[in-house]
Amino acid sequence: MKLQVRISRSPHVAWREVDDAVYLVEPQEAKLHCLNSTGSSVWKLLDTEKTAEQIISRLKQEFTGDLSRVKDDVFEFLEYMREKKLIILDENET
Amino acid sequence: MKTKPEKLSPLGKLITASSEKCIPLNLFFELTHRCNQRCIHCCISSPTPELSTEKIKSLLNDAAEMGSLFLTLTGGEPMLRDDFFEIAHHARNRNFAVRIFTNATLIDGKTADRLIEAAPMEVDVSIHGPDAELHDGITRTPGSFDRTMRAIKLLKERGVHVSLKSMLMKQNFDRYGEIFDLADGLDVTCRVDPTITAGINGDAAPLAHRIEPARLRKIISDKRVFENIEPAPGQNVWCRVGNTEMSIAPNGDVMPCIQWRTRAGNVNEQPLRKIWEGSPVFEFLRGITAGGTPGCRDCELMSWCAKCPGIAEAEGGQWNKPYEWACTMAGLFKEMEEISPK
Repeated sequence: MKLQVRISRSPHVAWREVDDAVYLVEPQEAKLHCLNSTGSSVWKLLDTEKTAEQIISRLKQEFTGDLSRVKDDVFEFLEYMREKKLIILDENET
Repeated sequence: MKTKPEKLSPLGKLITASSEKCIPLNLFFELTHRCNQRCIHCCISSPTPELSTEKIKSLLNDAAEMGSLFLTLTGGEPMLRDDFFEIAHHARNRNFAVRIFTNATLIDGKTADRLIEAAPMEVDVSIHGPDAELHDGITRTPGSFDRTMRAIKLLKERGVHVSLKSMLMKQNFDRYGEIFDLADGLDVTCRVDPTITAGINGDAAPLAHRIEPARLRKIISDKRVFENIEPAPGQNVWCRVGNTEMSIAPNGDVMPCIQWRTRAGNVNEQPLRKIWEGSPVFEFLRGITAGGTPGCRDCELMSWCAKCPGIAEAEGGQWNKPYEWACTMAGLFKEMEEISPK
């Protein structure tokens, strides 16, 4: 996955934020996911399309712990979300 | 930093969090009481005035703001409304997980395509027999079985999650196994429910179709029937009506649920949020437990009881009193667990 990949929410995902946690219903599978605080932050950042680089940059500003794994963790999270069809990744050049 | 979705029962976490904050997580919206079938066991007897399209869309906006996630569009037959797809698409745009209760007879190729755009989480289709003779006899609508079957296939072809919903009654009890076979053949899930309820206007006529407990007992070991309707082990509190669940009737009445139709307010007179947060009905509901109701607090069957205050009111006249069907079912659930421990 490239840093410039553009990410948007899948338009078919149902979701709500309750108690600072984002809950998503996977389209067609009717499966509920609960994101932890960082995953919830990523989801909320996706109110408009973002690149992976923009997400990582924003998380590094907000996160106070070990920053060395932010990129790997975000990529791992995005892959999981793509696999579940919760987000759409566009890797084409603009 | 960890960003993977957490593994611990997301639904349990959501219900707990919603309950603590009194969020109406589940919203049942009866769009109309009109129907194009005349099912013998139906609890709805007459149409009622209906809310406008704009009012319904506005209420969905309000409910989304209040945190409602799971939205059930039901009726009558909800697809009889000319604006059904406009409403369903609006719900999608407000990020609801939409479930539709329908007989599906109005779905053809074109409407199935429109339904896809609304991305429903599930379409629950009522089916009452494994063939046209039995099903159409119960719906009193010739041709309804064939139309429903055609719709299920159209929805499946488009990847929609379809579930069959069947009320078990005297007329179809001997053939319930064939309904499951039908579902298997269609590759859809199937839930059957023996709890035929009285009419919402108090009419007891539908109860004449209810299966006798002695007949139900004969199939007690069939988990396909009981798995979906048994109470959670150790359940000793009321369901979550008034706490994480509410219903809206076609005329705008807000109620605890589609079974318990005590009027908490009307959206033509008050904002939805004000009714949810301030109605004495909801205030009252949030303070009660089954353990505190007369006739139940010392009952040995309480752990197996799925008592519904709405049905209690409809059948016994008082929401907080035991009623025969609940006590019978609790006894069956207990027997079932003894036969096949979890």
